[in-house]
Amino acid sequence: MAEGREALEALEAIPYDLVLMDCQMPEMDGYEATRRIRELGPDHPASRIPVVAMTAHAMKGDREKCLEAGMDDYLSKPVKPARLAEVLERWLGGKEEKDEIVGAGPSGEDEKPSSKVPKAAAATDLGEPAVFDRRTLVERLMGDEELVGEIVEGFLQDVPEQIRAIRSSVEAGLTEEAGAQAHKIKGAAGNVGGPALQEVAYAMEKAGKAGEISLLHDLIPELENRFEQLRQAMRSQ
Amino acid sequence: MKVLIAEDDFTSRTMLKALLSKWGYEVVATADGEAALTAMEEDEDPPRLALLDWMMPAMDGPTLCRELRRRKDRDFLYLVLLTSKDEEGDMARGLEAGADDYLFKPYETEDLRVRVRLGERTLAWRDERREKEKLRDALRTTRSVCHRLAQPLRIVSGYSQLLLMNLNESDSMYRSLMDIRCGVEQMGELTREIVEVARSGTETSSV
Repeated sequence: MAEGREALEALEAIPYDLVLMDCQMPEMDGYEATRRIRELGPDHPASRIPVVAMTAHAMKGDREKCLEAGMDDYLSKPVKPARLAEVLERWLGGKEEKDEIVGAGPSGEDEKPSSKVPKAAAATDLGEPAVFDRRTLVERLMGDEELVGEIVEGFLQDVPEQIRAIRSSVEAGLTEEAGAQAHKIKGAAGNVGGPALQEVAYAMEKAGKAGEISLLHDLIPELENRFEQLRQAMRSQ
Repeated sequence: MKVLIAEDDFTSRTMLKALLSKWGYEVVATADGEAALTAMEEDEDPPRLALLDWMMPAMDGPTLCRELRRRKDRDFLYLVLLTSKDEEGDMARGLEAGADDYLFKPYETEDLRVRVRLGERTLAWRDERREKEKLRDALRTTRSVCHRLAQPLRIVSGYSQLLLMNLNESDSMYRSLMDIRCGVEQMGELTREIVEVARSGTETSSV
């Protein structure tokens, strides 16, 4: 379908299993189209269809906007084939337990837009970034489990030292150095599939560049915390 | 094929090294620009393909690019800069510093493989082009030498003809001059053949 209204008409006529909804469309955008789908009423089978948002800017506000509109999951554009496959499997595969992503967000009391949201999606895409995305790491290393083990070991040995270096830079008031060290952690976290750690490292990198010493100082506990979470997630898998 | 890595982050470096080794490359891994330059300098068979991190202490990727370019022939090295998304605006600066290509981090493994292969192909293509240029230069020189030979040959041939006209066939010099003239004409024929071969060679080797 090229447009929101067309999608609505198609859904009312034919039973589909899933909607991939572009958020930015002319005339009726993805948010509005999703709202209308949900408003079809409980009797209409299409009203409960999983809707997966696709949007170009993966900002925090966007996630909330998607949630509010009643969407279930989230893909950022350009859509990566592996992520698309993951989402399709999650919503169409029927196996709710298959979840290699460990969520960082609070689980349990999340308000779900749809009652049939599988567990897997609850805390990952619509909330905080994942602590450990093992699947990405395995993919990146071409399925070589032995290598995964080596990389994880090296990472867990190296990063604590880097965090100590950041701490001493911040204590000495060396913002630029701290930013550069955070940049390194960001790179490492990105490589091993640690989006949550990557996020806070990136925030520290920016703070370092901007010379915001107090922000750097405040973010250190979060950096340590997220590394510890990642360490535990890595150890438990 | 040997690949040089300059990456200060341990995890990123280990991963790069592991993947490249897996694909059959010989890897020289370094943690900063200075070490990369030293590795390049001290290697008798230095790597021709290099993956350089943008942000490193002491010497950043673009500076390292420039230093490598200064030390090696332009065609010898294929340089890929590894950079974070937020340094995208600096890309022009990286390419100006002499990088051939760049890759955003975190990269997809397949992208890395494709870019490295592209570098390998580009190097092979440059070598091939260089070989062709060398051949073309040699052929051009050959042709020019043949042209320069034609002049003295014509002089020898012309004068021997002139002398023959003033001599009797029974004269003892006559046979000798006849032999000289035949020899010179044979040489002229041979240079024309060489020019012909050189010309067709130049046409097929022209890029």
